[in-house]
Amino acid sequence: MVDMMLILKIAGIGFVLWAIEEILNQAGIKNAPKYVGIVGTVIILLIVVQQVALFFETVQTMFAF
Amino acid sequence: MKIIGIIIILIACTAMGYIIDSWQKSRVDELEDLIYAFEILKGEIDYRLTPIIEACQRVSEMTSPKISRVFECFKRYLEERELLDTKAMWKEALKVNEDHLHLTFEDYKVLNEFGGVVGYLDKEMQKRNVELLINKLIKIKDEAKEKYQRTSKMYRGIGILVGACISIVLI
Repeated sequence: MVDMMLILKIAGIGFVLWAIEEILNQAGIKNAPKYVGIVGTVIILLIVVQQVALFFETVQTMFAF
Repeated sequence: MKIIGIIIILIACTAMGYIIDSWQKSRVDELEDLIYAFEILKGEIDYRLTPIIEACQRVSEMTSPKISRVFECFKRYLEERELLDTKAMWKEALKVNEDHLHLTFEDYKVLNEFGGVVGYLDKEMQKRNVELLINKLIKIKDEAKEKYQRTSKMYRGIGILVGACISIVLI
């Protein structure tokens, strides 16, 4: 359930960022969509890195004697 | 509790988008009113040869409340004669009413020019100066209107979407 929430969360953020980029493109602001993309990537990376760190911890505890 | 917080963030971001949008609309409206006010002033100077204090009184009676305040203030300063010259009086009138107006720094820069030339030399000179100011204001207004039409939907849309994005991150 937690994993599904995570996937849905990332999908939601991706969808919202895509919508923001589209709106900015329509408004004729050329540089802003790039920055929105970068900010979005950073937000998603922050979420993913936490999960990867959690995964490493789990693996570490598994092999720790 | 979490849901209430998310709802508040969503409402706040949406409201922010709408507020920025309405700010831009107010600016366009105010520029239109200012052009109208200066047209009246030009008419008063050109056809009726009214002294500037009376002309300002007439303009303040005929324009919208926001712009009317500026001209009323200017008229009062002209009557009181406490400030050094018309430039300082006009600048002060604009400064006092700055909170009620939604104009930008560039708009004020153009408007401040009016203070330096009001009441200077003959009727023709004043008429030409007001005409020049009106032309500049029309140009600014057209640009502001074009920008408003282009970005109006953008601000509203981005307000909602940024709210949604923050909500998703916080869930």
